[in-house]
Amino acid sequence: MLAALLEMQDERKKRPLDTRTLLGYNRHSLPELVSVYTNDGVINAAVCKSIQRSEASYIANYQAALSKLPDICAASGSQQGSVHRLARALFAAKLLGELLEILAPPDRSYEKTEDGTVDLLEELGEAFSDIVGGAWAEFFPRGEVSRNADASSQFWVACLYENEPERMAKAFQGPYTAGNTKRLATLDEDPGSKSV
Amino acid sequence: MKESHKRGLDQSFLEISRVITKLKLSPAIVYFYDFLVREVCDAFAYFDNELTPRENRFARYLYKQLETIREEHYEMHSGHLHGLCEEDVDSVLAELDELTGIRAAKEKVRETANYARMQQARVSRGMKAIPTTYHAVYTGNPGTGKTTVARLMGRIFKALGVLKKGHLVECDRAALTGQYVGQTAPKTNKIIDEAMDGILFIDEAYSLAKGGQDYGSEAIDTLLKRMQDDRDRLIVIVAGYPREMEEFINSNPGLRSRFTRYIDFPDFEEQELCQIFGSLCRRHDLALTPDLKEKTLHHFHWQARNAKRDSGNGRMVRNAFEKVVHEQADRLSKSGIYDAEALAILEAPDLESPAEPAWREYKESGRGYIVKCEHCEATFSWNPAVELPVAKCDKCGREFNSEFGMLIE
Repeated sequence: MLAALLEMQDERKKRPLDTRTLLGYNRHSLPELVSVYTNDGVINAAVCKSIQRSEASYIANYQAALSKLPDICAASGSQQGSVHRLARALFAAKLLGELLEILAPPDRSYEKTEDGTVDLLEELGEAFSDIVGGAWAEFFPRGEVSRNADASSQFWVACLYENEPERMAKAFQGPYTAGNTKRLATLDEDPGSKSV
Repeated sequence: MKESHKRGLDQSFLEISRVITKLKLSPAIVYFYDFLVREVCDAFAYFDNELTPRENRFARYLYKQLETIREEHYEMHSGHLHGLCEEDVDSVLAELDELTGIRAAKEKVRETANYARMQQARVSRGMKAIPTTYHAVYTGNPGTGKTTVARLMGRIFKALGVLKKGHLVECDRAALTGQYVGQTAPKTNKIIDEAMDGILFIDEAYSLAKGGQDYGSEAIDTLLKRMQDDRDRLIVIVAGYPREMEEFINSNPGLRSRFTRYIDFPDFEEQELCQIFGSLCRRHDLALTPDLKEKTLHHFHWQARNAKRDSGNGRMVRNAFEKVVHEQADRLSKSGIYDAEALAILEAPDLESPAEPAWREYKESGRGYIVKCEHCEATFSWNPAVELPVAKCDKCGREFNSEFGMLIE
């Protein structure tokens, strides 16, 4: 993805990559890749540093979120594999957004419309959030109150609407801690089963 | 969220595709977003470890929509990507060589490419080009690689400077003909305009000349006129079943004189079908257990003997691949294990196959398998448990594909 994003850089335009070459970069680690691009003069040292810092931060916080998975899943009654996949996809989407912020040339990242100037990077993030939110509403229809529905919304909202990876990791768990397991289990109870 | 519901999730994905175009990003980014959306949806779907039929229906519908947008985006922008690369003809020919099977077709494409290269060299040295046309007839059953090769042909012509864009516009009878008098010619002209400086690929072209269908013949007349008027900017490839295409070309002297290049695309051999399946798996970072490799052999052995003409070869393999991946998803959801290893391995039960009883019977017979060197036909024994995609032939010394073997009959 990074190599694909680097196509935006002017230097890279002189030597653009075909899809096969892009896929070949999957075999390299990020530090290897950025050092190649820095040595080639495609990106400067400051940009290289920003990319590495962002990646390191996202990975560290993603791992921090993963370390809470057993608690989260016990408290939410969700499948660990699914929560893992969700976290990975959402952190990846945010990291992609962050890399775009670093690499997108400003003149190309805004669009003038009849209603004013639009930030294309923001549009991209919003369209993705729309899809995630829309899909969530399909899988957890309104009226079906459950821990799974609540937990899954907690996870995606935390990831997509927090701007810092540290905050994403914290908000990802939200109230789904071991201490809350019993209390949260009431979400799965049939409201009609208790007499008022 | 409500807004996205109103306009549809596919519209939001279309917006992603649009913004990526505006940002002049590689089409690979659209693939990545497609992957992320699928991951998120699969995670939601299996949150409670149970995939209801409604959820399954929704997910499949959404994935199909995403795939269409993604492929359209790629189609539109791969030209842009290639354009930036100014790729040379040899790299496209190398890509052609990587296609499984269709040896004779590849040879013909090389001949055409060599001829075009010579023509361009003459022109660049101020010599006159020898009058020729590159319009072609591709014959073969569906799914035998005709469209793929036509697309590569466009890139070859572009790399050689024969065509400015080299893009491919694919259409069929319905896209060229109207329902009422006066509609056909404008419709045909519109499609041809889209294909200018590239290739117009007419699939099942023979249906234009079927008896009693007057609008089809009107489309042919329009096409023939434009092929003459725009001969330097348009290459037309007509495709379809061999016998029907022969009748089609012979039905009109204008067609016969303009289409002088023929390429036949035979059905894939069962081993080639297995290789396509194997390469699809590799492309998606999936590995096959020895049992599945063996079952795959039997599956395509059965398909090659029992499938109908329309069931489609390469397309049949892609369908089989999609089914296998869905079965894997169901299996994983039942086990609840989603670690990297489980996600990367396809197992024999993932492939539902009518060849299952035959496979079991064959296995019990202990007959084993063989693999043949494609260059000298030397035969070697083959074991599914041995991971050896390419082997060196002891007899001729050349390398050959040994990923899948053959049944001993």
